[in-house]
Amino acid sequence: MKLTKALNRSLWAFHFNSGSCNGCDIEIVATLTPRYDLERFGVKLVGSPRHADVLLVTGPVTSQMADRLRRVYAQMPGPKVAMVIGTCGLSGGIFSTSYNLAGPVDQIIPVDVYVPGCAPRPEAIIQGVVTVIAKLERLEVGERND
Amino acid sequence: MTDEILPPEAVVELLGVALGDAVIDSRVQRRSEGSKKRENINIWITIRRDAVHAAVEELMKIWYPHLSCIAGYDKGADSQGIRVQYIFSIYGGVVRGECLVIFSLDLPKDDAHLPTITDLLEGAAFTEREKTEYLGITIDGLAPAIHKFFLPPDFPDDVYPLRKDNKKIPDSMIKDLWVCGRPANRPPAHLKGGGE
Amino acid sequence: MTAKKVPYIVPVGPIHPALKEPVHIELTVSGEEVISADFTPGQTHRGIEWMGLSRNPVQIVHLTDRICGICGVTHSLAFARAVEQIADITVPERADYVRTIIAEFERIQSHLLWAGVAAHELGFDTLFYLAWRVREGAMDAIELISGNRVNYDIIQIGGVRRDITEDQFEPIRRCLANYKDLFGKLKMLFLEDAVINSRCKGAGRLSFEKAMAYSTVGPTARASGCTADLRADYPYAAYGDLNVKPVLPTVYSNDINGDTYDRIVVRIFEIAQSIEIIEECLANMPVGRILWEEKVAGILAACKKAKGEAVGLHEAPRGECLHYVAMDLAEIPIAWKVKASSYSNLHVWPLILKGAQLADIPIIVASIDPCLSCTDRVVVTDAAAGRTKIFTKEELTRLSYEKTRRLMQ
Repeated sequence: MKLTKALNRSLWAFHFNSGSCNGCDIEIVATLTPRYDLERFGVKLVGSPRHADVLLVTGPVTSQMADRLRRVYAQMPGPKVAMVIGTCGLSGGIFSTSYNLAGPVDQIIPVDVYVPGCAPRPEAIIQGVVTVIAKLERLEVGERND
Repeated sequence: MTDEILPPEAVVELLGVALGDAVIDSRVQRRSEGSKKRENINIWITIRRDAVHAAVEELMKIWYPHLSCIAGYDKGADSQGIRVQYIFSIYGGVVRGECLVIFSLDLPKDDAHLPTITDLLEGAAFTEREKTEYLGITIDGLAPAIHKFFLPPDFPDDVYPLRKDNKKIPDSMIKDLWVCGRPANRPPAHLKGGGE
Repeated sequence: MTAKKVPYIVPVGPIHPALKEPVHIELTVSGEEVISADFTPGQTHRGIEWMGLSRNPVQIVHLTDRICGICGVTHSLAFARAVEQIADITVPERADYVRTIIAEFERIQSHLLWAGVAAHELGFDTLFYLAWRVREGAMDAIELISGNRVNYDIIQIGGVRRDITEDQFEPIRRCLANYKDLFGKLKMLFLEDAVINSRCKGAGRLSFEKAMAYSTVGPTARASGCTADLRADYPYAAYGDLNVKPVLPTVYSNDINGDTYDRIVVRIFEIAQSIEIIEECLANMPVGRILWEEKVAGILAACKKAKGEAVGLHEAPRGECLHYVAMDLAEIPIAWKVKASSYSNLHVWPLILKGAQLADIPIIVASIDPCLSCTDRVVVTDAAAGRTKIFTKEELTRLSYEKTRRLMQ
């Protein structure tokens, strides 16, 4: 895998909790901390979507968060990818019948990578990130061909 | 307030004497777990709705209580009542002595008012506001909230999530995430009770 | 910080992981000092109690696991205990011990998680990484027992779904021994460090009187001198067989201040206490079944015959967790009320934030352990200038870092 200059140093991720139980969020942090150490690949969490290449979304998207999710996604510079972490972002999961949900995530923003699991293991999240890199690479190639 | 640790029956009796005929019924529930089967004790007291403030006052004379929360439920779409539970515990910090005291009372839906107990226990406001938002119970004496505390700010007025009657969550608010956006040729999987 | 009128808002939002705790805090400040604070939870409201009223208890157990990703066993244990009381189900003794062991491992991982986050809020990221590295030991033990790292799903009505087998004892004991070796180091790093001392002592003070009047629970209450700990006071699961003593800040220092530092003391020493509890439980594990009834249909049949109401309690890492359940001869409960532990602690924020400096907000807000991401966004109204600024968590954390740096010079 080889990304272009714009992306070959690192992949910065913005974490968006849209109403999850915190399980996936904890696992994202666990993925970044020394045991799994995703940061060795230069992947790090940033505090602003404007700096981010990857959007990590957890949770089934409550009604209040739907608009915020759209705005965050719009603020990210391209090429960008969105990654859903956890079953409830995929299909609502155990919360699917609630009255205060606007999700699932792919009904609100375009999603590139799904990581199922409740909560997904850190290895699964790393696999998702690797898939994201591959996808970004394809996006880059596509842009150059344009 | 005394420092003496009373047995649960004595607590019930003390409250019974102080509240008189406002006590409708009472029971002491004991439950034991583990190998040594040491007991934990819950006291359940049903009171008249107008006696709630006095009941808390009397409880405070026995021991400074810990208010866990106020619970409540709608008794059903056909029923005219809401049942509210004030869940306290006393003797907190006494080794193997803590004892729950639960005051239950019935409230008619068309007159869902309760007095505040914040004058006795400052921290009660939080859970009292929750009862207003979830069940539509008006708490008298509590300053009106400037914003919603538990429900989202744009939640419709006059809809109360835990009501089961015409003020319940309308079907229009429910979006089944499992179904929406799902290809039609996959088997449906609804969560409608029964089975695991 | 530039005085932009409406600065850039990161809509990570005032969301919060646990049940009713998504929160958004509004502070009125004069310069650096907080004059008053207000907070608004309610952004990630998922209506869990409402959903529970259309599911049966066995299904709800799985829902309770997902109320909070950190308290994976807390809610399910409290809920199961309530249903067991209504349906008059006797939990096998061995299951009580398994429940206790997993609950204590949860306390270890939760306190280490919190300690890491607290260090991060102070700008001490080395300690954050260290705490999270150390936490993985407890995660491995939990995974060994339950098969999952988070949302363990190990509790069932009437027992537990997985036993701790003989060959699992050895790795669990190894994990505990490892923690024992590390404890001295953790204690030194968190309690003797000059930065943590200067930033946390006296910050976010909660008096004993207010801690009582606000019915606070868990380490927040104990740091203010309340001795309440359900594990000692209210015998349930295997805790009745043990001699648990509430951990107060006096285990480390002579006086109780009820400040952020005391809350760190309580949590660090509770890790040591949990290790002891697990060891004692492992040594005294009774033999026998782990479930009252293995078939789900059997459990549901018992629920169908149940009528009445009950309260299930559990001392979670953050304090008392309470579930009220009422059933009426049907599979589906007629009432379910969840009182998460942070529910009893959140409302002291206005008290403990008052008079604090802006840079201390992240650590004070985190000090009651409101699960994790509560500090995400804070609205600050500058009373003198009469304008409202919305600080993102990042900006607040930066302020906090700058203060640490100033102290170091």
